[in-house]
Amino acid sequence: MIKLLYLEFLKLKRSFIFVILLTAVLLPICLIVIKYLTMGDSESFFSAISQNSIIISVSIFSAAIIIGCYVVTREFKESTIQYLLTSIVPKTKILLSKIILLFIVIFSLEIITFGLLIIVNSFVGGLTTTILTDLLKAWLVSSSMLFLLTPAFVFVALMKREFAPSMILVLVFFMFTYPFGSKVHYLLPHLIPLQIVSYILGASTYSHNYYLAFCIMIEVFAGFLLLSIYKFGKRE
Amino acid sequence: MIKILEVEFRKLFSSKILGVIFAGIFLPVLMSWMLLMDNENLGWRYFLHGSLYLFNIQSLLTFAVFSSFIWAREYEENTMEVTLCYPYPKFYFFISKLLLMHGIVLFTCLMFALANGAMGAIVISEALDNTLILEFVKVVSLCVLMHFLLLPVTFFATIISKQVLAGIGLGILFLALCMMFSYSSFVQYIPFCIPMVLSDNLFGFRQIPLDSYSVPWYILSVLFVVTFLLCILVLQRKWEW
Repeated sequence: MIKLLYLEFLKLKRSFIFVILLTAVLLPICLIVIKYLTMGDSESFFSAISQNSIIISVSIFSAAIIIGCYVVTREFKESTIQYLLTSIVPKTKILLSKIILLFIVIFSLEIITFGLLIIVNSFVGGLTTTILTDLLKAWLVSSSMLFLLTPAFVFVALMKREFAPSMILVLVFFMFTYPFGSKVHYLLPHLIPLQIVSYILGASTYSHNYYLAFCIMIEVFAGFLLLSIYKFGKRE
Repeated sequence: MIKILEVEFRKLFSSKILGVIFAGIFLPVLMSWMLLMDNENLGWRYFLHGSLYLFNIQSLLTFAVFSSFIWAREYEENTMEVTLCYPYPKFYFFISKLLLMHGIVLFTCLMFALANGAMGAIVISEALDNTLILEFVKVVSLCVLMHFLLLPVTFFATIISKQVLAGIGLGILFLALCMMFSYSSFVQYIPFCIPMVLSDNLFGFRQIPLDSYSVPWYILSVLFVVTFLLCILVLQRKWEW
């Protein structure tokens, strides 16, 4: 398993996707800093973060979609799937190594995002224990919930087998369901991380039941993981 | 040229990306409706303004994804080699795709206007004034032009990168710019925010008062010419990297 994971890392390291993911993470932070600079002295840096929490969430969400679809579809695009499937490693292990890789990447991207926000906030001043706790809480919730969503992206990628169509499909679905996010987000699990992070960072006033949200996300994770394993293991 | 355009249309209709157009048409109307549904005294002007505002922000992503997809799919589906075998100058393909995108922008805006009328009629009891219809149609027509003038930027990024990801990334960036700086006065000089600000002013809601009505048009025109020429230059110089 460790070797498989290492192999996945090597494949990812040699691709262009890292640069894009880093850009997707760093860009909103740059925009928040610009926004803070244009806001004037009366507003704190945390209020700039709070007002634009949805931008942070959407950019990390997009990065998760990109990486989730990419790690699966590149095997089909570059015809490396034959080599993987003819090796003696079980298919489930191959899929699990990709999902673990996604967990590590998403976790790292979240660390970079929230770590940089904390660093910038401490530089510009106004970083209190409450703000630090909120940012850490948002980081934990966001990274764990986005990871729980990754099997859904993997499943779509396995269905479509092409990078662009699978990514656009998820994006269109996200766009169509986004307006309903604040009202019925428990029925739309992909919007739960965005809504909860907004709530933690003070941008949304809707209260959330964390226990229920995590239960739904775990069910989504288990459901799509089983579907992905079934789809990947199915004979052609 | 007509034949290339016909081929492009055929390729488009065989693609499932058309679903993005429906997201582009109905999403702003739906969002505006959901945002304003609690308002009992909702009038047509506020409803149309709300959906037009959201439409101009969201369309940046919609059209960026669309334009990058119709270029990058040639590489993703390995049809570029076949396309290059046609005895036409290379930039003809770019112009045909740009014209195709113009058709898509036009269709999306037209359907958006109709969807607004239909959705508004359900939720608003007030009668729709003919002057307001004309005003709205005029602003939407100008939006077609504004979004069209922004298209070569995404095309240029996609031609360089050969990835649909470039368009998606740019679309998300434009969206973020519009959402974050929607109340800053300098936003009127950012080309990608101009459709949002200019249409807002043209429709009579001056959330960010424009310093001048002509400057945004100059910015858009210069951007269009520069990126269009850059696309042609890149295509003339190197087709396959």
